Amino acid sequence: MEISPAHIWRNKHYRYRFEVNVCPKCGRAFRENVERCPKCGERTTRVRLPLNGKLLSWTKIVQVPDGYEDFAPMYVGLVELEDGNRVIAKLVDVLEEPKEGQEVEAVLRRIRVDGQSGLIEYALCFRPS
Amino acid sequence: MYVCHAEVTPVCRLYEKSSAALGAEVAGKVIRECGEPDALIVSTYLSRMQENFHNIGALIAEYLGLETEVYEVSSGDGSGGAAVSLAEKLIKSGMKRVLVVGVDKSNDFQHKHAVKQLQTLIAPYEAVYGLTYAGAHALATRIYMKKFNVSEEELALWPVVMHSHAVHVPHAMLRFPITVEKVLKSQVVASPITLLHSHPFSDGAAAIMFTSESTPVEVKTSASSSKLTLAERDLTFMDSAKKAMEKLGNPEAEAFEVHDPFTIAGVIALESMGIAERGKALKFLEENQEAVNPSGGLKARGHPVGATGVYQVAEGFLAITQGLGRLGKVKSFLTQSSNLLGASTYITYMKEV
Amino acid sequence: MVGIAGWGAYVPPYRVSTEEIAIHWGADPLTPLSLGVPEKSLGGPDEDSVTMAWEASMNALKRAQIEPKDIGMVFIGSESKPYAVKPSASIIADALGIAPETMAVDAEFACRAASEGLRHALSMVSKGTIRHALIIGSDTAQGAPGDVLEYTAASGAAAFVVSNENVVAELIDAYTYVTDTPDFWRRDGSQFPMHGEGFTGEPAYFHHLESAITKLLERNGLKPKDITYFVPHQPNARFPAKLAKKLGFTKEQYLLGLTTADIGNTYNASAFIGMTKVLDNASPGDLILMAPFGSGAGADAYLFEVKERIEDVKNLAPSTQSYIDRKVRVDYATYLRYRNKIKKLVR
Repeated sequence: MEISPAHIWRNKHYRYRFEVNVCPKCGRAFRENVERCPKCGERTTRVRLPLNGKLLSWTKIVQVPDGYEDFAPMYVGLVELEDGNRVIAKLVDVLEEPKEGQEVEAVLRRIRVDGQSGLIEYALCFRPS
Repeated sequence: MYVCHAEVTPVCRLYEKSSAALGAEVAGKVIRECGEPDALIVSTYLSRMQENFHNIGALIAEYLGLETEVYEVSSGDGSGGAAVSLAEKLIKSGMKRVLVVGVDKSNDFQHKHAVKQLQTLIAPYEAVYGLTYAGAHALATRIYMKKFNVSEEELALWPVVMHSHAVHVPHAMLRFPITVEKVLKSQVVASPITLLHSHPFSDGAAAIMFTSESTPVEVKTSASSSKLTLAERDLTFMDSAKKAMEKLGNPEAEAFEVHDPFTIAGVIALESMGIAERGKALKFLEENQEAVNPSGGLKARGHPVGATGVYQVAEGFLAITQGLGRLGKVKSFLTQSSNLLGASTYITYMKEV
Repeated sequence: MVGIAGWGAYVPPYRVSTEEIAIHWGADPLTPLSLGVPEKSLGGPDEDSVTMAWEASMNALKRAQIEPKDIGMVFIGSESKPYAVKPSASIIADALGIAPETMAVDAEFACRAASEGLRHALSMVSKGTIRHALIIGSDTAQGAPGDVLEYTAASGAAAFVVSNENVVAELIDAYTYVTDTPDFWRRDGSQFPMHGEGFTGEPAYFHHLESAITKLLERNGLKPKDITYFVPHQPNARFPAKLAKKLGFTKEQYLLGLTTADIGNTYNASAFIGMTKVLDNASPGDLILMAPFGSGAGADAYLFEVKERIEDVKNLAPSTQSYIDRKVRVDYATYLRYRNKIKKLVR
């Protein structure tokens, strides 16, 4: 079993909905479950990041890792969201070469599949809009 | 802190030895030269996953017949630098001799396994989309090229120079010259990074005995860290490298070994350390070819991941005591070992005394 | 007043030529053309019935202007579930921010499982059991390589938000007709469905749809000419045309919703996608007769009246036609790879 049920479950707020935990004091956003800011001690609040942004950088990954063969080649992008936050995520439906500055929108896609009998992992990815 | 002695194995694809056997053999030579250490620090990264064995330090100590303190140090692909940095702290705490052994293996399985194992350097919420070690550097490359208006032809200078060094270095892995055309035409790994912009998958071990007693080579270390999350960084600059250099007082050196698993990392290292102006690292390289990565760097000497930072310091010792490749002999040397493009950086400054 | 408050479709961008499929198997390339399906849609390697359902639902929610957390039921009909056991509905409910205060279920009744859900939703909302419901038909339809089904089995999704509020198409009446008719099946554990070829026609598709539609019209005192748009299940482009002719509907009534002619048969989304395209173009006062069919076999007939609000919300999400037009051709080998029919064997 390559994909852990616990991993999918505890990360779904970010993978499915781009929800991050923000410290009200220092403003840092945690993509993982952080209930209190490790630095400030303040209780974090769940904030949903926008689903639209623009592409800052991208790469077409030809040498793919073990387990990702069916998705090759894969595109990954660095995206600046409408609110200025930046995330790295997969680019999908890349029908022509991506361009820096291009508008992208988030869509839910499969990102990993654990063989024939394991779990399927879903996450928001970006599509040229 | 001083260097008593250093040994390296040729960097290559080494199928016949385990990391424990390889590390112990090279360490044994150093111990026979300098005497037993008060502590052993082992640095490794991929070999744990390659060999499905996570207790390499203990086995190396057993093979060496040591009963001293044993530590394993991990800081991603900067693990080697981290081990050297910690050695200085142990020496300063009053130990007489500290042995650092860097050892790693990348080739026990097909490449796609090493590619997956190197993904473990990247935060899970960024790696899960399939972002690879090369892919992370590719994102940085594209931003750097646009920001400083640098072409693919200009970037190709880096691997060309690295290969030209490695030809003259007996322990280097890729000892053949290449041309700009070859770099541009080599297969894409993660666009715009091609195969010839990339480190080879390497096996190797290096061992260094550090001592509190005066030798001809004095060593000072410094380290600093910034963020691991790639999306939240300026991917064209390593704050940790800048801060680590400042902590050392920005020493001037005759030559450098910088951490260049991919061209972009070497370029950014020179600029972040203040050796070259921002956007001008390739110009600096063109004008100071011998001084930059005389071993051939990670690109051509090779990149046995957890051992690489130890190789760099061993090469500095070689350059000062007997000369290294095209560079020849120098009196001062800087090494930089970083964890994923500068999440943390370990600097070592060596000089002849 | 219960009805549809929001509608949304999703069609993946990839298309494969059905003529190419026929040529590949040494069959007559005119066969797929005689079915009226020159090309069909397929999802990319990162798409499945869950991901397509997500996007169709996002579009439906945008038009419904309803808070996801107020949805009380997520009902997905599909015969291409990513998991045999583990609900797609809970993934969709969580990803859309509907969970946890909701019912959620995956249903199977060949191509009409989603339509069964629509009937449940309309009933539950009108009785006040739940405020709103999200009903989704989504399929990456399977056709065995070499089978005639391969000419039409396509990928797509459509979703409706059912509510008493924000209604754009009010339910006037609905009627369902079900019998045990073994025209099409897939046994547990087998990868591809089997079918009775000609038997899927008269005793299955035509008998059930004719029975359901005739009864619905009769009990509402309507004639086919009173209906503005007719949207039946569309396994190919030929069956709906023949059905329309038999019942007395004209091309003007059924062509707008005949999306199978453009993208193929999206199974649970087949009539639903046609319906979304009709809603994209409908005007207040229009009467729509939608009639999904599922093998095994059953048919539903729905009568909807279009309301004023429709004009305000049409442009809140991409139109179905925009998805149909956004396309790129791939060859048969790519189709096989994207749809998991061939795999890299190096592991």
